[in-house]
Amino acid sequence: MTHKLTGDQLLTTDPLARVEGEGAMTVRVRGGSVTDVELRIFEPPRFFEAFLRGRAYTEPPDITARICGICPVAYQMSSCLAIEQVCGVRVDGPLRDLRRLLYCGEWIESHALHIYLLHAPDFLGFDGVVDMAPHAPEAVERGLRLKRVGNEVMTLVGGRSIHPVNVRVGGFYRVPTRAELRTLREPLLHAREDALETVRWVSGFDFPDFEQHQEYLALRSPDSYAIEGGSFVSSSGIAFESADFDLHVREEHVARSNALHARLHGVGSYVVGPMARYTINHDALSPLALEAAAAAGLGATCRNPFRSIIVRAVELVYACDEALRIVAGWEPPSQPAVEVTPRAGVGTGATEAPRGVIWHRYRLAGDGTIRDARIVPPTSQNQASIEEDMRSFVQDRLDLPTDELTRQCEQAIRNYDPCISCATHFLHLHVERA
Amino acid sequence: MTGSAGATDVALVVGVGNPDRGDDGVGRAVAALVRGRALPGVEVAEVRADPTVLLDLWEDRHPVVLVDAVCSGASAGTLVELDLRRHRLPRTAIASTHGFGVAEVVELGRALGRLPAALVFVGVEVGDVGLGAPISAQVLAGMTEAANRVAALMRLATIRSSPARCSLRG
Repeated sequence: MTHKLTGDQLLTTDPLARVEGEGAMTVRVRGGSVTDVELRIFEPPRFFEAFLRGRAYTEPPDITARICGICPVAYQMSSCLAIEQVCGVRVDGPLRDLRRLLYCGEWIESHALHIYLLHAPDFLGFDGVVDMAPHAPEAVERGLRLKRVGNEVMTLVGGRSIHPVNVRVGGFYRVPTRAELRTLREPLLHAREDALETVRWVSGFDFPDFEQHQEYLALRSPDSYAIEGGSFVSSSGIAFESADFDLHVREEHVARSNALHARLHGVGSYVVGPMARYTINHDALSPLALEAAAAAGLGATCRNPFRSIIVRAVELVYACDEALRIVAGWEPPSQPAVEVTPRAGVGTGATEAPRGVIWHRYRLAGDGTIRDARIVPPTSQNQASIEEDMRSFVQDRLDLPTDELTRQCEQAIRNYDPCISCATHFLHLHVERA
Repeated sequence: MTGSAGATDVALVVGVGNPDRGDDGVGRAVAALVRGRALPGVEVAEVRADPTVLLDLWEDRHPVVLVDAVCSGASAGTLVELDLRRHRLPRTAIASTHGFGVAEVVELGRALGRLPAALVFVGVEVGDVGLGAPISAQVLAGMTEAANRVAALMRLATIRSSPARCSLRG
């Protein structure tokens, strides 16, 4: 039933669909003002950090990949970097290229899933992609083609598309031959055309007039659009290395959520993910991706979270471009991995998961046994900002009928492609108008 | 593309599930049993996550039997069979990748005209889906019956030549 709410009210979405995991959003409205917004995550804690204690230094890529079926590569890559840092090993050259190629596959698969199957239906007024498909079959087929190519890259490089098995500390168990990687060229060329069409398609959507000015945090790399490593840089110029993440980011437990809220020292809430990456690193995009961004009306930054769908599409173009570049120049190394000998110490690793930076820290004993582990996924970093978005978004739309307001709130939450399974360490929405 | 029956069709059995979640792994376990029987002209595939791959897996395959865990409140191990060309699976988003599960993929396939000409769902009622739990004794008992039923469906000439005759049971 549609009805307008006045006075003191409560709006809820319970549960929120098309997001990963279980959670709920509650917005309290008193006297015509939004007084409180709570993103509650009640997916139970998954205790991966505790599982890792006592395990061998070689195991985090396989164990942490199981945290998420959408971005397992992100967990594998950050864990490898952290362990390698402890052991004084740096993986460069073709092995780093291959890691970047595997990561491009994950970006293509994840961004295509989110744009086409989860987020686009919001903009076109459908309850979901199943309802959208009869009205936009060509678009849905395009999304499925893109997703398939992402899966192909992950399968060829990672051994399989979900929870890849070919990643190890120091590199890979097996590296593909030139002929094997060349089989990806044609699919990637088609995918790049589909990605360009994706940018054109989503840039024609209607976007609410809504801007946020939160701090952006992303990795930056001197020689490329940061994906598989880099140093932290924020939109206000705060810069630090992965090893100092703990000094700059504080995680807080909030009683309503099983996920921790992250705060940037001296700033407070912040945003990671495509909009942060684009704002901080757009100069490092490929010419084709930059051209697509400009044609879509993106400038040097993007401050409207609803336009994040355009940024994801631009990143799709970039991921295809990068994958093609790596495939074209691939010369297999003589060894599939660098030897990594364990030693005592602490190491950290940070990489750019499709939905934002993910940070790992491990402390090893001399024999390589993991003494403790910490994992900070993107959704827990974005939680506080999602709440702030909702506070100002709802305030300007209090005259909307409750069901329409609830629908728009769900769309706003999906701007962040939240992955709550990862953060619990998912979503039901309540808007209380009391 | 809508599948159509033909003399050279290859049949497909797809087991769906997560073996790390106890009885949820039953679909794949049943598929493995069917694979062990080496039925002529029958391919067997397993899907752990991301059911959208089903749309590609079943392209040009006929007939297709999809085996998955179900939760209806019946006794663990109970079989349910559904002709998905004529009936819909209930859409239950929770516990699927970004809320996109097998039922959604079947309906997406229907909307895009990409369902096989014959698509039958065989479901096994779950009991324990705890993290790391083994498949429960009741579901293990139901697995053999499920594999027998899948094999029988594959042998039925009627299912290959006349999808409309796929039976609805349970």
